[in-house]
Amino acid sequence: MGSYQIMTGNEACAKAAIACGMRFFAGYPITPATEISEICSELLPQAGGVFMQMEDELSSIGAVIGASCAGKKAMTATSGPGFSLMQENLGWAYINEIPCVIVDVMRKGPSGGSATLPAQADIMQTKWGTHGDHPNLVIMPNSVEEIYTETIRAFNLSEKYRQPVILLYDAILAHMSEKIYVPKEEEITVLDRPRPEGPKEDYLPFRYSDSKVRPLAPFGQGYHLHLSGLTHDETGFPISNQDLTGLQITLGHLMAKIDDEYDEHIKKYESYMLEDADIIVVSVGITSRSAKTAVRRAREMGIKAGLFRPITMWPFPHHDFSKINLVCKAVVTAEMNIGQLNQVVTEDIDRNQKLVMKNLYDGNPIRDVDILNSIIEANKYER
Amino acid sequence: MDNFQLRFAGTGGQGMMLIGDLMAYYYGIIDNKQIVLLKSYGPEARGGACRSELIVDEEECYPAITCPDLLLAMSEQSYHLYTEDIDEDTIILIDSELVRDADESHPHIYKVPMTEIAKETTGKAICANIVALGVMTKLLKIDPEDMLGVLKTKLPARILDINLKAFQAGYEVKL
Amino acid sequence: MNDEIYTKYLALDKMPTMWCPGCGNGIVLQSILRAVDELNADRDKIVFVSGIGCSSRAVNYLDFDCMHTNHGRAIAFATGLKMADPDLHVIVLTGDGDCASIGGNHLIHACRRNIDLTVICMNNSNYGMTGGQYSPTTPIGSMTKTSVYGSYEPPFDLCKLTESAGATYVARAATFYPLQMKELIKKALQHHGLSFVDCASDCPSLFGRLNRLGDAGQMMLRWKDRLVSVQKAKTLSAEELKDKVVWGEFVNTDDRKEYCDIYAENIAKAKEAANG
Repeated sequence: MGSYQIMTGNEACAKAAIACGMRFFAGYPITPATEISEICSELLPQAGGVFMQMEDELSSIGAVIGASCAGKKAMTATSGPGFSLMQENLGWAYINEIPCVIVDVMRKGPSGGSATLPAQADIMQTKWGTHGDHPNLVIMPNSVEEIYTETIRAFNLSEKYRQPVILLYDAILAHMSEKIYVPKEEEITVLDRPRPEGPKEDYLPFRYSDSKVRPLAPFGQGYHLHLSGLTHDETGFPISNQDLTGLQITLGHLMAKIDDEYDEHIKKYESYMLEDADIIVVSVGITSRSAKTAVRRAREMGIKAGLFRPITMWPFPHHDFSKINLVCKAVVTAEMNIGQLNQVVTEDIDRNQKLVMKNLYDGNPIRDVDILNSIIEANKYER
Repeated sequence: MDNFQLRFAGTGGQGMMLIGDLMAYYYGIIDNKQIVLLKSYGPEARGGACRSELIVDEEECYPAITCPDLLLAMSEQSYHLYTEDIDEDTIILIDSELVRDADESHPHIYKVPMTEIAKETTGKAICANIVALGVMTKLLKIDPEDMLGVLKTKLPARILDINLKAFQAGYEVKL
Repeated sequence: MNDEIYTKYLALDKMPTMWCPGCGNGIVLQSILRAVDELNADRDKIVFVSGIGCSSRAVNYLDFDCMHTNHGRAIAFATGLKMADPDLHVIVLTGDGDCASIGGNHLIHACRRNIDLTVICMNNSNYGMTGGQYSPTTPIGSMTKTSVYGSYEPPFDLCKLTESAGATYVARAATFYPLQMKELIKKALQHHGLSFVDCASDCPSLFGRLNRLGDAGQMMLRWKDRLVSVQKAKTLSAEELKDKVVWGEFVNTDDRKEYCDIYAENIAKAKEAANG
């Protein structure tokens, strides 16, 4: 039996990462993510791990990728401005299928924005941030306890699928404290990346013939592993432009390894009072908590409202949500941005259903009463 | 108890963040409720107005104060900054020496010279926050033994005795 | 390069290289491989990390653990790799644009930390892969694709830069003296701490052509009069050193602690604090 403790979201993130085996952290100070660095600088060396404060965010994620290639579970944490700087190297990790976890604690942007004010405006950046496209795994917890458990899940997904995983939450969750259950080490399920077996000279770092994840050999073990950001074949060596099928095959593999496992092992969402819902509120992260209160209050008023909350934000559970919303008459999106989630759910509803957007992007959290008003407005609509 | 909201306001250095931590520990761990603790940092860490806020509920709660059930104000500035959302049911506890311009007509205002009491009993004004904790423990009908247990768990040994005295003095204030 | 080293260390099926005839990168690469071979190092513990550019392409011809990273970021990746496994011998292959322009910040901070990496810069004073634009080491007055009236930006002296940033081994080698280059790289590889070797090299196809310096052979011969050894340079006046390139060892010291060693001390402190 573990224990109940009171801690902030950033503290939960750092402690969960260390608890599930993260032993390399590199970061650059930025509000509102800095506490993750601070805690790692204290606790990682105690666990024999490495904390590095790098010269910028480009080098932070570079060092994280390098450390992962040496076999360590590695993480960095930043906020929007730093996350923007990480994009190019993040792309390198995607194409080379390097496990690592990136925490983006969202603050109000664009640009420097307001460092201490919350936002949910990096949702699309986590999907399309780096140039060139690729599938991605993005997790959006909505409580301190969920930050703890989802940080562990982020590492497990990352290791299992050889893929960077982004943990996305906002400045409120980062800094607020809640009571959470902190499990004992033996209670935590920890997945480690598959290691190669068989003759080293036959080892190939990539496999594009099917959706299976190829084991990643660590550097320094005689595998002569070749990793390159250029379009490469299964050996990892760059291929020439004469072989134009190369990139198609690579991306096909990256997508297939996620798609094949999505329903069973990757997708995750919370359904609240959806069985008979006329109005479905779609919300993520901190906003989903006022959305839940709004749904409860709407029910008290006799309005059949429900909440659909993706926890695995990307890939978005389009298929499930399309089925869930079949009979509802309206969908309300509530988010702290100009309508990113709203754009995502548009493709899952039909023209007979009303889509109501409740958003706020002034750095204030959305109050339950404001979402309730949107539910009431949506409820006036007849299908 | 449905949803219960507390705000501890003062000036940077008065220990309002610590009060938040101690109250959160009491309600979350000892009383086994769900809690959200919010702290506002920033320029306040260098002497401006600052506050910590605690929301207590039976189930998961939204992390924003709508109307505080209790407000502690340890400075004039923080009293004026952080009273906008109170109503007539809010319990207000102010340091009577430090907040001179309070709304005396409020039905639940308690004026206690907590900093003076801290100086008298411990010789240190910095213990005023724990005097306030003693007063609030009484106002909120918390078992003082429970709160003493919190102090013993959360405070470093070298400052425990002096703070136990401050707590006792606060708890014994006639209201 | 003799055949044995060729077959031992190169990914022969990746030949020919993409480098133009007369490019200096081949001389630098063979010097590195000879140095590695003569040191009899455990090749399985060596990792080559590179960025982007003609120089960085070198790793794509090597049969070692290799990491071909993003433009300018090789040292950042290498830093994480080294810290995660200090037993690795991490060699960064880079160019003047890669390490002194887009990656300049990582270079100086690696020097500041004195982390045990060997950084070998193939310095051909222009951006070759993109077609011959001026770089942070292009001499003033040079013609490049982006300085068609003559380059007007003052160049970096990479040895002075890395020395002042804290590197504990700094040397300049030149493709004109390949054996000496091999010896300097050997010393850099053996050094514990950040070692930097600036390899003065030529780009006949672009820099040479745009500046009418003749073919690769003629460009090579130009070095003969320009190169001055560190020892000789000490006897020359500033006026005499104008337009000369000083080669040799500038810094070789162990008076600063290496970063992995410093971090091991940090771990010891943290464990002591945790236990007491």
